[in-house]
Amino acid sequence: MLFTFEGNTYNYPSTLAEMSLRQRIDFQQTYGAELEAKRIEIAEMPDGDLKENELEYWGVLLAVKTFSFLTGIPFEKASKEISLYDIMDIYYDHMATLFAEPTGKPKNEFTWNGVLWELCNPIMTHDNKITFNEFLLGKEVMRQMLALGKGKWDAMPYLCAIYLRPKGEQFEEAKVNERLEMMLDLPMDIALQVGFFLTSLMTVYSKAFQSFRTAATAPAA
Amino acid sequence: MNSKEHFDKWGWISFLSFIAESKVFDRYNGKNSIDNAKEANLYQVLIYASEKKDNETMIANYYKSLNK
Repeated sequence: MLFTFEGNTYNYPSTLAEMSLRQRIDFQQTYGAELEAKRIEIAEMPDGDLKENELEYWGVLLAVKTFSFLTGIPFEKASKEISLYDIMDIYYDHMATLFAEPTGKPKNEFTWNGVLWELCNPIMTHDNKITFNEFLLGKEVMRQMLALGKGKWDAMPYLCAIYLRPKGEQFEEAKVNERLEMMLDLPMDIALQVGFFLTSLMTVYSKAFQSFRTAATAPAA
Repeated sequence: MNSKEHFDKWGWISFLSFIAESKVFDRYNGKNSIDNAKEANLYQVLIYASEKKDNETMIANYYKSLNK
């Protein structure tokens, strides 16, 4: 979508397919983490007018920062020189959905850059093709990212490189690093499907793993 | 470091070692037990781990019952 201001035209994504994983990670680093921390701080405040005011202000801040990030117009300029009404209008009509949880039926196949890419079926059955190494690598990436104080968005390019592959290709650990840079350009509609897949996968396998963990950490009788 | 801290730090490596040491997923392909375990089907690995722990718990419970 286009937004014109002071004779300049700014292009911003209005669908998930137009937004890359790289942009989502950049947003998280620039504004997302700070906004999340503020939201948690507000949620812990006692109920009342002050909390309501803070929440409203936070909502405006979210809209202006998102608008600034996606259009590329500096925050100072956007907040002082562009009508808040226009910003809120654009944010709610085109931008808010880019950050909402996706709905609908999960997909396992996607066409990207002219190639058909595939996610394994996360359902645990005997014919599931996922190897032990794919699972271990995914978990290790998350563990190391958390240990470094990073979040799920920083881990997503690695996780996409592990679990998303051209249809029919077998898993090869060496290709994970090869594809990392490429995965940063993955459209967000596909990246969020990888997120869907991982949530299902980890829920199923965490339950299975829990019995091992409990037994392994239980004090000796 | 207690066993929980150890597991939080080394959990997945511990799990891989546990599977590799069993040699259940070894194949005669020139690769070591760790590499063969990594290449094994995840579903089969988890079923094996779960069944093995169930079996060990059952045996431990049996011995406990003898001491009562």
